[in-house]
Amino acid sequence: MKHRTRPAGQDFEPLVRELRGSLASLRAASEALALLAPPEEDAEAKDLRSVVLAEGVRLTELVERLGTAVLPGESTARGRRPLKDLIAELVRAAGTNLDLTIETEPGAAPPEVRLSDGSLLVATLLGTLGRLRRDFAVCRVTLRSRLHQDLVALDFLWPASEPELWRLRESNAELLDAAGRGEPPLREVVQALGGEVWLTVDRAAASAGLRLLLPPT
Amino acid sequence: MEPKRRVLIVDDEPNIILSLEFLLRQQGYEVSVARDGEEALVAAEDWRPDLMVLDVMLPGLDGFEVCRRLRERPENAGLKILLLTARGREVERVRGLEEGADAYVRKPFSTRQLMKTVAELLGRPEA
Repeated sequence: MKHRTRPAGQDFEPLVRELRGSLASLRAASEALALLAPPEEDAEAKDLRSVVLAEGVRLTELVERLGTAVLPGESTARGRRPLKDLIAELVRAAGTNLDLTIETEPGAAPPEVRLSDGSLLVATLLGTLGRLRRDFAVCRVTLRSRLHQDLVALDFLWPASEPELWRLRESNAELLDAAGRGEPPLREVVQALGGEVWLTVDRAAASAGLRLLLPPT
Repeated sequence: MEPKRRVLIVDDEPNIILSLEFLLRQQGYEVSVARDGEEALVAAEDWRPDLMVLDVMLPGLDGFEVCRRLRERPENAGLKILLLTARGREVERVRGLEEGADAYVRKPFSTRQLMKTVAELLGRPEA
């Protein structure tokens, strides 16, 4: 099965990131230079320095606008499906194929957020949960969904002892960044959807989890 | 006389380090630099900074992971962490704060605003 890993528009993200980094260096340097200017500075030099400072601010405003202009490519992507359908699919597939129990919190209906490439997200999540079962003997996972500061948070939680927590932490990158069978890495898929994913460790509760944050689209 | 507050810059971009180091020294801070996550963890233990200006995108351990490892140790409870990122996404800001950062600043930034945030985190009036 061929998967598209990146919705249209998302390929600009690394370029925008580089632009932001470079512009930050330029602005910081120009603002630092302003502090070094001699009191008796030549008028032309002062004007030129003002141009650099002003254009740095203007470019910052432009890059902020570019940053938000890139992401809505998501909303025009084909094959959008409500998140709740994808979770239902995940629960069914995990229950029948992986001997993995996923429970949603009572009364916590998944928020209505639509995603492109949702099937790929489900396939990749299943691959990651399968690796957890195989490598860490995780056989029961609780899925909690909630709204978190206008973002959708999905928590896949399971009990873990202290040594397991350490082992999980060391395997963090491998779990999230390794490609599965036919699927790209989970982190890549989630980030292409404009989200973030990471491993959570709660020593006090002796539990670990995968947290996905997804933006509303 | 009050001892100088210590600020550790963690970034792998030499150009931003050069300017931030200068500006922070101008504000009266003692400044040191780490160029990756592992170096930052060692410096946090050996040099004991009061505040860390921590870039998210680092070679090896990223800023989030550094932040999480720092927060796992009770001796770092007083350490302030200011995350810098070249990404402009809300999800990243939320993640940063959940990993234990005290503030989150997007690149590019106004250095005046950055210095103000540093001063606020350290509980001192802006110089």
